[in-house]
Amino acid sequence: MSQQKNSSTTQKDSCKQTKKEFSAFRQLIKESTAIAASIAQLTNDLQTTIPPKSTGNKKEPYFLNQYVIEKDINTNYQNFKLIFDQSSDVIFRRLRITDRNNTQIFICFIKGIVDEQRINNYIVRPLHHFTPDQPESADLITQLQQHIFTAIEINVQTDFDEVINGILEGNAAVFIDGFDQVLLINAKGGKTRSVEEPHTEVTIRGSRDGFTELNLVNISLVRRRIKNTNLIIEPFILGKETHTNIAIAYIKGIAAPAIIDELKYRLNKINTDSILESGYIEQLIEDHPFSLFPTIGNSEKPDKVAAKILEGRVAIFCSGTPFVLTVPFLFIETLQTTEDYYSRIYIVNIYRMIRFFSLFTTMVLPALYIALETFNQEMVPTVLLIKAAAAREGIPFPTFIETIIMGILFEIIRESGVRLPRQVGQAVSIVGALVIGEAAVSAGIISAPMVIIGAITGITSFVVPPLQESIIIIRIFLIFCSATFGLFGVIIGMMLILTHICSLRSFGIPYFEPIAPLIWTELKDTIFRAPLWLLKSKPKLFTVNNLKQKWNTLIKRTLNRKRGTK
Amino acid sequence: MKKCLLLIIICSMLTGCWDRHELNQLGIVGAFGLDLDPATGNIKVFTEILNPQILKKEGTPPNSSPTQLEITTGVTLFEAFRNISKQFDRIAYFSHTRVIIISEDLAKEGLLPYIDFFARSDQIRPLVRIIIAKNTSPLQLLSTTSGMENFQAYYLRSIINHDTQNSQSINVTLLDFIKTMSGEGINPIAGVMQIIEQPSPPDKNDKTAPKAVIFSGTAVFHKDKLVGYMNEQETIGLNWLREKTTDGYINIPFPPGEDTFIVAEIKQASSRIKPQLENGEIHFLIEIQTEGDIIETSSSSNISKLEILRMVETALENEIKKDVSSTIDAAQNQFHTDILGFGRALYRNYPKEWKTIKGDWETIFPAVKYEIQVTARLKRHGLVNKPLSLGNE
Repeated sequence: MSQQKNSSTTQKDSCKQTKKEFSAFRQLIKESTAIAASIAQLTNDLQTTIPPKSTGNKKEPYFLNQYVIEKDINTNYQNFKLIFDQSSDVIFRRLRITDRNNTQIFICFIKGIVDEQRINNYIVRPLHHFTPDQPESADLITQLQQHIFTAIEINVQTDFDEVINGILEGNAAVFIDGFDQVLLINAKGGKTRSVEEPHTEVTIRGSRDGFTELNLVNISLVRRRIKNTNLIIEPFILGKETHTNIAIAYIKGIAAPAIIDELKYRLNKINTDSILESGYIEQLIEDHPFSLFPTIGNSEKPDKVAAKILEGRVAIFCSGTPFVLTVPFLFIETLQTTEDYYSRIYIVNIYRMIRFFSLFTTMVLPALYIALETFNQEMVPTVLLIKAAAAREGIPFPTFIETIIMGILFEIIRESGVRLPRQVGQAVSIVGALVIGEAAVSAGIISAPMVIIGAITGITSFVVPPLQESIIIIRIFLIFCSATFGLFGVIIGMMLILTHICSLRSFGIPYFEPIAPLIWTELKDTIFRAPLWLLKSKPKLFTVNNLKQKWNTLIKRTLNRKRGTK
Repeated sequence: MKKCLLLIIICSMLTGCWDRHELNQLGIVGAFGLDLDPATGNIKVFTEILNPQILKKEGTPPNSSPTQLEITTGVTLFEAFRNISKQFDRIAYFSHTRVIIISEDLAKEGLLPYIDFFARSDQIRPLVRIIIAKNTSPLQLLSTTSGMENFQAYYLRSIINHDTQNSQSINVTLLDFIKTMSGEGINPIAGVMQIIEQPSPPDKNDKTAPKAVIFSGTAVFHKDKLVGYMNEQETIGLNWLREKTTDGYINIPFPPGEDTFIVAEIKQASSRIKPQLENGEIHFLIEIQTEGDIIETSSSSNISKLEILRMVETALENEIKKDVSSTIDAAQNQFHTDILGFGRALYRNYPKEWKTIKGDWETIFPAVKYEIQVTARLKRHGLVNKPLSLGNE
């Protein structure tokens, strides 16, 4: 009994013990899950705030480990069917090959972005004629890859996201029963625009080809110009919804690593749903988003982009647009054209000066006119003043209002002409010119000199296309300055603008370089272009060569400051 | 930051358009004349305001006058100017004034208060030409129209600007006048205009002889007061000293004793006044160097011969000497005022000595001795070498 009693008590004790231990264990589990959650939170935070140090290039994920490629072909088939759901342009082709096991295979691709002929010739037909007479020492997938498919580019992928991306880019994915590997076969095709002469940058002398909407074509156009193993193309996939292909191109050994790193850093930090044009990228990564001046250049011409890459700049190709971005972008680049280097120096230098003069004219002329008409009449030659006074007799508006009316009218005509079909656009400009030029003057509503000023301002604004957007705002700003303070206001306004330009930086490089900071050796390609044999040296600030320690630290410091604030 | 920006924007917007005048609010003044109102002793201003309508190509009213003449008076000059707006619908704007005409009476009274106003004004340019109306009123000069220009001010200014054609007149800017008036050892001069009766093609309707403006001679000042006029020959001498004879001409009587002339056009002229102080005696050496071309001959001398050319040059030198000494004589004995800058030359070369005699300069100057040295060269003789002859001789 006693023994029984004893045993029962011990049993009770042990029961209690286990209960205690169990509750403690429960507690532990609770705590550990809490800790795990907090750790997960922390790692998540870390991932979002601090990008990995040695950055890979960002590829926006599709499903991020939600799915994996299974060995069982039916699961894969179900998964992909589920993902592409009802999409009518996604094609699934199931077939069995005549090997020992009658292995099941299915091919998945998207109609319209692949060349179906090629899929037929390189994939489907060889599979139909598959005879397992080869020694089956190798497994099926290597056999298919090495002997059967006649396509040139075949990738073996195991990553689900990569496969999805491959299909969306125009590859055909071949799934084989029993393998968790997928063959991605390049069959890109479909209708795209061919290489044409760009409309935005027309040249008399120089290459006539322009970029298209296809990244691959664009890169090839640059590749053909720079036959150099050091020309590096690095891919990115950006845009959570669009997964747009982006590529940066630079020459290793010329472009400064600091700038390449900075560009990659900024691209990796892009957090956006869609990128439909390179303008999206430009606006997301530029140094001064609110500045009037563009700090990232763009071009449609491969020769121009190639030249910039050769000078140590980095090009950003964005699929879906013919406009390729280049960084760093300096103010002086707005006044340079490709023809400046293809033509002989005399005519080039004359046109350069005309461009400088036009830039100045289009910004300042209306403001100057107001200042001279209403504030500083003593600055005008007497006869001209009397002429102007005669023209102003009976004009109802003050000069300032007149200038604003002319400016707005001109922009309206320009804008309506740009958006309309070419034939109608001409009609608009004729009506506009007639209305302003003839009727308004003869009716005495606007004075004749004002029309001349408006016309000159308009024409000169077309001479420097990269700055056209900024010029309009600067012009209006200066008009206000001069309408309030006369010539004094114009000078103050111009000083403000100049100070602003000098304060800008593009990827750490001073925007107004080589004028401010003054770099003597680079002045030979600013207001004047020296003969080509004197233009051998590369821009010092953003190439690896000749980079002075002083500039190096300067650029690094500004870049660090930028990172700190962003 | 935003508040600060807003404040700046508001500040700049609320100031309005300070000092703004549309062109059709302004009356552009081309020239004005100053005279003394004999009755009250007030200042009288004749302002010529340009009418821009005349330059408007279409629809010009056929008999609209190119200019409008406003006559106003005031106790001070500024008051007289401001009185313009009592009778004229635009604000008088003086920045484009080309000529200031001052009447004889006013000039004799002293110009200091008016010159002070001109120098102080931000509208009147320092390069305005100063003219004295001799034997006439500024009003007459402003209304005696002839020539091609639309505006009388332009007409007067063009005549003044062509003074180098004969160097018998003085082209003096306001700035020159101020500098010589307030400078040490020099007295101001000014240009002179008068009205002459001009013989002209007979006009059946108009029986009075047409009048014309003539610009010649020099108005000589002592400090700011007019003391007299130099004639044309003395003015040439004065211009030699002012180095203003370039483009002018000079008639050389040659050969001496005959009534024939060789005319030289002056291409280059330079002069220096060198004061020399020996044992307390002040003595001036005037060096003149010139170069010219032979432009006309009425003598039959063969100037292509070097000896003869040298003789012509000597004659030219003597002629210049004669002109210059007549000028200095006039300044010393007739006007007793140092308009030639002898005192200034002395001041520049001997500043210490100048300090001691500065006060007495007006009494020293008339008796001061001088010597003139002229080097003249004749370089070209036109398209023919010898004087044209009348066939076989």
